[in-house]
Amino acid sequence: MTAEVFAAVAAYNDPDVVPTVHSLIDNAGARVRVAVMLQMDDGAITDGLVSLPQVDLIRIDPQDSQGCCWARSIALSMYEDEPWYLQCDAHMRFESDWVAKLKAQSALVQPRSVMTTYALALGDEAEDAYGAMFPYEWGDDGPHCAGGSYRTEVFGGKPIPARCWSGHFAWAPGAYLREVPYDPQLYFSGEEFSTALRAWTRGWDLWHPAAWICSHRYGRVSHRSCHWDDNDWDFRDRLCKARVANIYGWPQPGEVPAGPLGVYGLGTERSLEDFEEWSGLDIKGKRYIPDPIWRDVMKGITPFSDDLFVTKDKDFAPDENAIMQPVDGEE
Amino acid sequence: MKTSIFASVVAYEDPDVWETVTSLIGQAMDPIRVAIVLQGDDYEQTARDMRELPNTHVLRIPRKAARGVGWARHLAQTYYEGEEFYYQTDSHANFHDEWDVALIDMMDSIGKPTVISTYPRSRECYKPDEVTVIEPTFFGDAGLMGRCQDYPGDTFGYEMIPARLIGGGHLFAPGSFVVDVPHDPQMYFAGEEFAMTLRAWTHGYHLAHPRKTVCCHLYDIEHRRRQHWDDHADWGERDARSKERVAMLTGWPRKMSLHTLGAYGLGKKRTLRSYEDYAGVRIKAKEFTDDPTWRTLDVDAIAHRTEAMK
Repeated sequence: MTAEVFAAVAAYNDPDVVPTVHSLIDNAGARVRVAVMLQMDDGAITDGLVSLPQVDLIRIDPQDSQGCCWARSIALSMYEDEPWYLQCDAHMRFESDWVAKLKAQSALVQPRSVMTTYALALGDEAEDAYGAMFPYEWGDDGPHCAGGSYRTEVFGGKPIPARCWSGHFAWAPGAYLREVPYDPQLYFSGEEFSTALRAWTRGWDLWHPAAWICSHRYGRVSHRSCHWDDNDWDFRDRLCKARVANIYGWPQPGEVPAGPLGVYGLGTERSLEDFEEWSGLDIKGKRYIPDPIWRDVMKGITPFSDDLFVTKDKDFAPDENAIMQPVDGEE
Repeated sequence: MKTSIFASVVAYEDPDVWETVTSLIGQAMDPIRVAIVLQGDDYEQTARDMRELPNTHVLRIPRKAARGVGWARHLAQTYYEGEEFYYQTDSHANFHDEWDVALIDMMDSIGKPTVISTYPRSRECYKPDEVTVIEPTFFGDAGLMGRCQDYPGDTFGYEMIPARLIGGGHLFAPGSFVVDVPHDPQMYFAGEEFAMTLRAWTHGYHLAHPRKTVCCHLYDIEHRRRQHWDDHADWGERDARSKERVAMLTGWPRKMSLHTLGAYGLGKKRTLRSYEDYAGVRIKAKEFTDDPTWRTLDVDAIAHRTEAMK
């Protein structure tokens, strides 16, 4: 065990995994080990990764895959007690010395903290803004978050408290992986918010880092397919939604039973109600609660005004009413 | 269709896995769902053939990427989808007709969440009227170790044959076991069964041996099977980390500074001390005691058993 950081990447027929992994390693400025879970038809594309000493790679046929969360859980199973963990997507680029930048952010908050966000869009990064997540609607899989950004002055150089967790960019001390192991039975929808709740109720705080760490390629490129393009995914999706409904305390949504949650359920250090009160997200009632603790914390960080939000893409524009003003939830 | 048993089979360069899986599926009375993890470089055709079997999931891992049996069992469990029961076997076993019904009947007659396991006997040694108990014998650096001991089937007059150790090669449990006590992907080989025993017990599971034999182990008679440690020079490091995990569970002196066990640690439903009293051991001191409580579960049966041992 010599690496300082364990990074996990799952890729589904996505050749962009090759430059992603190179970018991750080349810009780390620290010893990293990268676990790559490839669900690829064409092995030749990724042959170059196999010979990298920093890479532990598994390639399976896409037809054997159970989907995104399942593949992530397998990549994460290769963890070997490294001090830090990072999980990211297979279509990302990293800034130089990203490890040092993240460690510096983690040093500013309590040790049981996760740095996470929707990274800024590749090719559309803003010099004066950092990525953040904005809950904006209630779905059948939990609150949906939009990616957006705050101006850097909101952060003042420090992480700001987050109410969501991102599957394409999460960083934490390695112990997190043992305490909040990935549920392989999840599919895609519901993964992120249920993970936020599981982490938070186990005593892990969530933060958006005040640093430009990486960029994410949103949308699809022509040569990439997704698990749901090639496979019968209906059952796994319904299983996933049944499991997250159980976590939220919602009635079961359909015929597929959630099954036991075990270690993939909520923690006992803090309750779901604690989270609701803190975040202003009334999960059981699917609405926003006025004046949550989170809002007070944010007010203490910065005097809010509209021009603190930076949005490059109207589709990802955060609804500031949802963020700043208590409004009734809409379904 | 919804199956009630989810089964896990993991293999490392073992040609007998085909016979094992076809026997497992063929001898079951009802359809089961099986996850098969094949670690090795000679499995391309086997994987293709296995995908054609009903309700199978095949995960083929090249030899170079293989990380041992504990990790493979963790991978197999990722295919679990909420089935009522979990079954786990080695890659070299042979099943008796309607083994699934026999195991479900055993679970029903016990009537509480129980891990039913043992070390199955070989075809040659198998006697249908005997039951195989894992008898704890000594403490090693990977935990409490046991060996097989056969008893006449009528030794145990009550519904449950209490076990003090879990055997990983033949294990039947409620499906919840997969998510309550999931395989720690960083366990290598030695220590896996003792760690599972302590975790299962403290998570509130009862431990039993099967009253009826439903499978035979295929021992490698003609040649020694290839093992993960034959091909991986770094296995010693994995082994050391596994043993360290056992030390984290048992409170033995630590050699490394590993992270918390987290979800792979002890449960909160029972204490380690209650296991010690039950199994008749003192883990920290690595000692055996004279008055384990498992014996007192049925006094008549114990008397009978003592006779049988003479």
